[in-house]
Amino acid sequence: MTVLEVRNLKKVYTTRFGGNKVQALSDVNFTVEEGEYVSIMGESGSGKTTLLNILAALDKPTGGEVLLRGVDITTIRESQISAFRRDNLGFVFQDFNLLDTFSLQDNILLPLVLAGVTYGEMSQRLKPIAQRLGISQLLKKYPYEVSGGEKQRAAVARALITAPQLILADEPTGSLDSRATDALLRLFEEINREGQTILMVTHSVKAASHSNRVLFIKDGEVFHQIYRGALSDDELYQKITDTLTIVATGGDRNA
Amino acid sequence: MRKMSFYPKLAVNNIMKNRQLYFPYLLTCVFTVAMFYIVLFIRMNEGLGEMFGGQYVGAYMAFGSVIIGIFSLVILFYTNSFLMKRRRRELGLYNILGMEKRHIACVLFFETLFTGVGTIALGVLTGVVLSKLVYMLLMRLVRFPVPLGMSVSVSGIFASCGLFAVIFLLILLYNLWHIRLSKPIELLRGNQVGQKEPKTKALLAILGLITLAGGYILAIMVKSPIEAMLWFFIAVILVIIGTYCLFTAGSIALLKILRSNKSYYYKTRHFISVSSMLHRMKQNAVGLANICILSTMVLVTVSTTVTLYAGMEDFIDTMYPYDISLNFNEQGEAAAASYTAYLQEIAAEEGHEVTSVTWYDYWTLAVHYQDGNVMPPMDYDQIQINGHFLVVTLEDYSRFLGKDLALAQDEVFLYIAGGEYPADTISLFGESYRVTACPGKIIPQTQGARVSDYTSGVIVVPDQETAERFCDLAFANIESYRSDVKGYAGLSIEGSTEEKKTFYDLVCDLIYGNPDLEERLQAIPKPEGEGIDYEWMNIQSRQLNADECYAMYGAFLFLGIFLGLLFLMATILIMYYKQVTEGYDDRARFEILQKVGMSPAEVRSSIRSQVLTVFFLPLTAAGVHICFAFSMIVKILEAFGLYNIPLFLLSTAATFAIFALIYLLVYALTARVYYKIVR
Repeated sequence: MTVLEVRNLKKVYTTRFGGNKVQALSDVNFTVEEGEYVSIMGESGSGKTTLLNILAALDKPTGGEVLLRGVDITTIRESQISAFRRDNLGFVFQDFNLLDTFSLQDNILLPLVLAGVTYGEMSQRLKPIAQRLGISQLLKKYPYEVSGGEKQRAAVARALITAPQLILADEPTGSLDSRATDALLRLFEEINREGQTILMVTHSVKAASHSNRVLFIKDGEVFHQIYRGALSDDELYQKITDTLTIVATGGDRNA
Repeated sequence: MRKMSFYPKLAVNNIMKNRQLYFPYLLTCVFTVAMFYIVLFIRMNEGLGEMFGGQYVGAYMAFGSVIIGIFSLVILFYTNSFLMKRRRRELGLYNILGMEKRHIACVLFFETLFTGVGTIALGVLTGVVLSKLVYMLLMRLVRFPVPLGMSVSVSGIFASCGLFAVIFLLILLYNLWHIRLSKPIELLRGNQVGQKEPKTKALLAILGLITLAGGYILAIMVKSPIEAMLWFFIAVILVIIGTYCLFTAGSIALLKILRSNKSYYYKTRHFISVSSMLHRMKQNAVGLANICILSTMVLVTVSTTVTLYAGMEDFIDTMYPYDISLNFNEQGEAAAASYTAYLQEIAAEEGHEVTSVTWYDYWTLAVHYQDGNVMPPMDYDQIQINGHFLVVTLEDYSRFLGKDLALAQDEVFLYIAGGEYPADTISLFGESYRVTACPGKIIPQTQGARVSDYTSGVIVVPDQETAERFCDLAFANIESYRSDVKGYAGLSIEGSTEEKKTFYDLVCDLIYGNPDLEERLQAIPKPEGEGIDYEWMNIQSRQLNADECYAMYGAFLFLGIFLGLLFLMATILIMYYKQVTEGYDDRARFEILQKVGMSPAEVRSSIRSQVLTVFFLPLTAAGVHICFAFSMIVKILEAFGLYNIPLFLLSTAATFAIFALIYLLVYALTARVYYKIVR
C-alpha cells in the first residue's frame, strides 16, 4: 500500500525584491510504499531540504501534489496543518531540535500533550518506547546533560510516540560521532523492520546504505534510484558511491 | 594614517550596526545627563535664595541631584552590562579574526569616547533648552514669580560633564577588565551556554514569604505616626528583601510545584507555559524584582507628594483661617477682646475693610486618654500623657462659627483629630457627658502635625466654669505642669495677597514697637492695662505661611515627579532590554515548537501569554505592595498634618492608573520589537 505519493512537485522561489526566480524543484515524482525505508541523496543545493520541507507541510509547493495515504497535504487548510503534521508525521532532525527547557521525558511527550492525550496514556506509551531506545534511565535529564547520540534517540522517541504514518528524518546522523551514528542507523533498521515507514534525507553514504532504496536528486528532479534487492549493506554502499560519482561528473540519466 | 582612522571608524560602525541595542542606551544617557543638569541648574539658581521658602527648594534639589547621580551610575552600568553580554560574540569574532585584546580595547575606548562625548553634549544641550521650561513649572508649583530671560549655569554644565565623564570612564574600565579576563572561545560562545534548570531554593523562598509577610504586617499594624516613621524603612527593607526572594526563589518553587502535579502539568495549555516560565523566571527574576521595586517607588513618591500638595489648601485653611492671627497668654478677662479691637482699629486706619473677625480663649489639657475616658495623668511622662485637648466655651465657639449654638449642661461638642469619636458619651474626669460632633469647622492649632501616639482634639463645653473645673481636674496630680489660659484673635481683611502681607508687617511692627514708626504708634495706641502682655505674643500671617507651605510642598512635589520620571525611565529601559533578550532566546524555541507540531497561532498565543505574565507580574506586585503600604503612609501623612484619606486614596488610584497606562504603552511598543525579532 502506498503511504506517500509525490506527483510533479515543483517549487520556485522568488527573491525578496521580485525579479530573480530560483527553481528549487522542477518536477519530482516518486512513491513510498508502506514499510519502506527510503533515503534521498543529493548535493547541497539539489533541492533536498526544500523537498523535505514540503513533505513536512512546512512549506507550500508551487505546483504538483503530495499525497499522504491519499490525502493531498498541500490542500490542507492552514488551521489544521499543525494538527495534521502532529498526528501523521514524525520528525528527526540533524540538530535534534529538543527544547532545553524540557527534560527528555517532556520533550518526548510534547506532541502527545499538544494532541491533548491524558497523562495516563502518555506514560503507557512512553514506557515501551523509552525501553526500546535505551533511554529509560535518562528521562529525567535535560538535553544539555546528555550526549548527542542520546539526544537523537530522545528525538526519535518523540517522533515515534505518536505512531506516525511516516517518519521524516533530515540528516539524522549529521551531528553524531561514528559510534552514535552506527547505533542510530541500527535503530532505524530495527524500527523499519517492525513496520515503520521511514523517509530520510542524507548526505552520508553510510546512512543511505542502510535503507532499502536510495533516490538521487539533482537539479530539482529525481535523477536516479537504486533498490537494495538482495545487496548487503557493503554492496549497496559501493553502488551508491559509484552512482554519486556519476551524478557528480554529470553522467546520463538512468544509467 | 590608515591605521589611525581604522579604530574610530570601526567604533562608529559598531554603534550604528547595533543601533537597536544602542539607541535606548544612548537615549538614557542623554536623558540622565539632562535631568542632572536641570536639577543642578535649579539648585544653583541665584534667584532662589532671595525668595521666601527658597531654601527648601534648594535643599530638595541638592538631595535630588545626589539621587539622580547615584541612580545614573546604576542604570548606565546595568544597561552597559546588557549591551556587552549581547556583543560578546562580535568581540570574540574580532579576537578570532586576529585582533589582539589591546586592539579590541582600542575599539571599546573609541566607542565609549564617542557615545560619552556625544551623549554628554546632547544631554547638556537638552538640559539647557529644557531647564527654563522645567524651572517655570517648578516656579508655578511653588508659586514663586517667574524671572524673565534665559540663563545657563556654567558650573552646572561643568559638574554634569564631570560626573558623567567619570561614569563613562568607570564603564570603560569595567568593560576592559571583562575583556581581559575572558578567553576568545568564551567570547565567541557568548550567550549560548547551556540553560541549566534552576534549582529550587526552598529556604530562600520561605525567607521571602516571611520577610514579605513581616513587612506587610508591620505596615498594617502600625498605629501612630511616630511608629510609622520609625518602622517605615524597616518595612520597606523587609518588603524589598521579600520581593527579591519571592521573585527569584518563590516563583521557581511555585512553578516546580505546579510541574510536579502531573494532571495539571501535562495539559496543552499549561505544559509549555509552566516550563517556559520556569526558564524565563530564572533569567528575569532579578530584573522583574527591580522593576517591581522601582514601580512601587514611583507610585509611592508621586502619590504622596501629589496628596501633600493637593491637601495643602485644606491644611492652610484649618491652620490659618484668618489673614492675621494672634496667640497670647490670656491673663485678663478682656485681653482677647481688646487685641481684636486693636487689630480692627489698625485695619480701619489703613483703610482696609474687615471681612471676618473672631476671638476666643482656650485651655490646653494634657491628659491620659483611654477608650472614651479622659483622666488626669498620674505623672508627667509619655505613657501617662497620651492626649491633648483644647477646651473652649460654647460662647467663644459660637462666635468663631458665627452661629447661635446651644449645649445642654451635660453635653459637649467633641472633635478627635484624624478620626470619628465612636460613642455617644464621654467620661471627662469622672463626669459623663453626651457627645455631639462639632457642628462646623474646628478651631485652629489642633490640626497640626500628629507626631506621636497622641489623641488630640477639641472639647466645646457649655460655660467657662466647666472649662476651669476641667483644667483644675486635669492637673490635680501634677500641678506644676498646669498651663495658663490662652487667647486667640483672628482677623481677615479685604485686599490682595500683597496688601495682606504688608498689613501683617505693619501689625508686627506696631505690636513689637518698631521705633521707626513712632508716629503710627501714637496714632493707634496699643491696648495697655492688666493682663495685656506683648512678651508672649505670636503673630501669624496666613499668606506667608501659605508661601512657605507652597515652597516646601511644591518643591517636594516637583522632586517627586522628577524622580518618578527617572524611575519610570529605568523601568522602561529594563523592560525594553528584557524583551529584546527574550526575543533572541525565544526565536529558536519558536521554530522548534512549530516543527514539532504546534501551529504558529498556538505558539504566538502561548508566547503572548507568557510575555504578558512576565510583564505585568511586577506591576501587579507593585499594586499589592501599595495596598499594604496604604495605611502606613496615611499615618505618615498625618505627621505632616494631612488627615484627608479620601484625597490620598484618590491620588494613589490616579497615580496608579496613569502609571499602568504608561506601562501598557511601553508594553505595546516593546512587544512590537519583540515580535519583530521572533518572526
